[in-house]
Amino acid sequence: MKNLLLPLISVKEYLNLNKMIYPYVLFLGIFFMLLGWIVGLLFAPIDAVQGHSYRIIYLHVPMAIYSQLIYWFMAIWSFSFLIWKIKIAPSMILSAAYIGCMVTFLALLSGSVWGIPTWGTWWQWDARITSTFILFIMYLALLTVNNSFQNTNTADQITAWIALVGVINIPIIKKSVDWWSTLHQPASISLTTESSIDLSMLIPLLISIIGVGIFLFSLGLKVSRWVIYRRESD
Amino acid sequence: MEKIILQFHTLEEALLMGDHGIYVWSTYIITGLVFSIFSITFSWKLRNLKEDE
Amino acid sequence: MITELFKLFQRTRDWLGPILIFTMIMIAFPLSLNIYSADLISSFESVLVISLLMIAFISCDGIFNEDFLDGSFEMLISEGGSLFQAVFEKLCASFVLISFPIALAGLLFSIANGAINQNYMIALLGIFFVNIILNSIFAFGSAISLNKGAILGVISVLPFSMPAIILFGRFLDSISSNISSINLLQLLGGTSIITFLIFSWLCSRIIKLHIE
Repeated sequence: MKNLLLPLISVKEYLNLNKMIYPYVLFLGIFFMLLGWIVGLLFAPIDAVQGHSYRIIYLHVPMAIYSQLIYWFMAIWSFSFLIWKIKIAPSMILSAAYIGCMVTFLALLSGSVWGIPTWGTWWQWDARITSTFILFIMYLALLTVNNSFQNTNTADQITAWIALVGVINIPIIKKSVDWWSTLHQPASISLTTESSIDLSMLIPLLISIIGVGIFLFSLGLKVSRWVIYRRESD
Repeated sequence: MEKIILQFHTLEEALLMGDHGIYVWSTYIITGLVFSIFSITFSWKLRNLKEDE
Repeated sequence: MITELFKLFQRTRDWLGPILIFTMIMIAFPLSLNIYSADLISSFESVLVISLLMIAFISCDGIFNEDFLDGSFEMLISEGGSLFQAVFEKLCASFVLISFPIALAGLLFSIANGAINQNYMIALLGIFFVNIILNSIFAFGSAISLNKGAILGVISVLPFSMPAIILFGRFLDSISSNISSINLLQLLGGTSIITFLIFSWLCSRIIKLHIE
C-alpha cells in the first residue's frame, strides 16, 4: 500500500512512474479513441431523426463529460492540498486546468457545429450550453489567477481555494440555468436509468469515451511533467 | 440491436454523409488539430526546459 | 462595527461614488431609448441587474486594500484578533452605507419606470439581498486580487455570481407581473445570509494567505 501511495507524496517517485507509463497510456488512448471514432463515424447505423449529423456525438459527449470530470478531479486535488498539503497537488491542479480548458472549448465547439444541422442555429442561450460556457470561463480564470502571482505558494493556495469554491458552484449553476431555460436534449446515456439510444450506437460511444479519457490522461501526464519541471526550475 | 456494419459504399458517400459530412468531418478534423497542437506545444515546452537545465 | 461604519463614512468617495454611478446609469439608460416605447419597461430589468453587478464590483474594489497596506490586518493577526470578524464588520458597514441606499434608489427607479406597481417592500428587500450576495462575492474577488488590480478578482469570481443573477431575474419577473414572490424573496434572503457568511470566511483565509 505504501508503495502505491508513494507517487502521490513524492515528486520524484511520481516523475519516475509518469515517464514509465506515459508511452503505453498514449498508445492505448490513441488506439481506443480512433477505434471508437472510426466505428462511430463509418459503421454505426444512421439516426432516424438526425441523419448522419448525430455522429458528432462520439466527439461531443466524451468532451462534455470530461469537461466536468476534470473540474471534479481538480477539486479533489485542491481539497487534498488544502488539508494535507500534498506536494504534487498544485501541479496536478494546474495541468488539469490546462486540459480542462481545452476539452471544454472542444465540447462547446462540437456542440455548436452539431447545432447547425439539428437546431438550425450554432448558439442558443440554453441551460447546458450556458453552464458549459461558464465552466470554460472558470478554467480560464483559474489559469489567469495562477499565472498572476510571483509567489508560488500564494498562487497554489489561491488557485486551490477558487477551484474548491468553483466545484460547489457547478451544481448550483447547473440547477439555476436549468430553471432558467432549456432546449438541449436530455442526456442520451445515464448511469441510473436505461439509455435512450440503441446498443449499436452506444458501443462505439462507450469506446470513444474510454479512449478519449485515456488519451486525456496521457496528455495530463505530459503536462504535469512540464509543470513540475517548470516549478523546480523556478 | 441494429447491426454494426459499414454504412458507406464509396468514399464520396462517406465524405458527404448526406448533407452533413461537412459538419461531422470538420468537427473531427478540428479536434484532431487542437489535440495535436496542444500535445506538440507541451512537448516543445518540455524540451526547452530540459535544454535550459 | 460602529468604528468600521464611521471609517467608511469618512471616505466619502468609497460609498457615495457607487451610489452616484448607479443613479447615473439609471438616468442614462432611458435616454438611449425612445421614451414612449414599451422597451423601457422590458429592458429596465436587465439594466437594473447589470448595473447592480457593476456597482457591486466598484464598491468592493479595494475594500481591503487600505487595511492591508497600512498593516492593520497584520497587526490584528499578531495580536491574535479575528480576521473573520474584521472582514465581517467591513462588509456589514458597506451593506449599510452602500447596498441599502442602492436598494432604495433601485426601488425608486423601478417605480418611476413602471416596472413595479405594488409589493414595494418585497422589491426593496429583494434588491437589498441580491446586493448582499453580489457584494460578498466580489469582496472575495477583491481579497484574491489584493495589490493585483481589480480585473483579476472580477474574472475569478464572476462565474459565482451567475446563479444569483438568474435568481434575481426570476424575482424581478415575478414581481413585475404581480405574481406572489414571497418564496423567491425567502430564497434570496437565505442565500444572501449563507453567501455572506461563507465568503466572509473565505476572504479572511485569503487575506491571511497574502499576509503570510
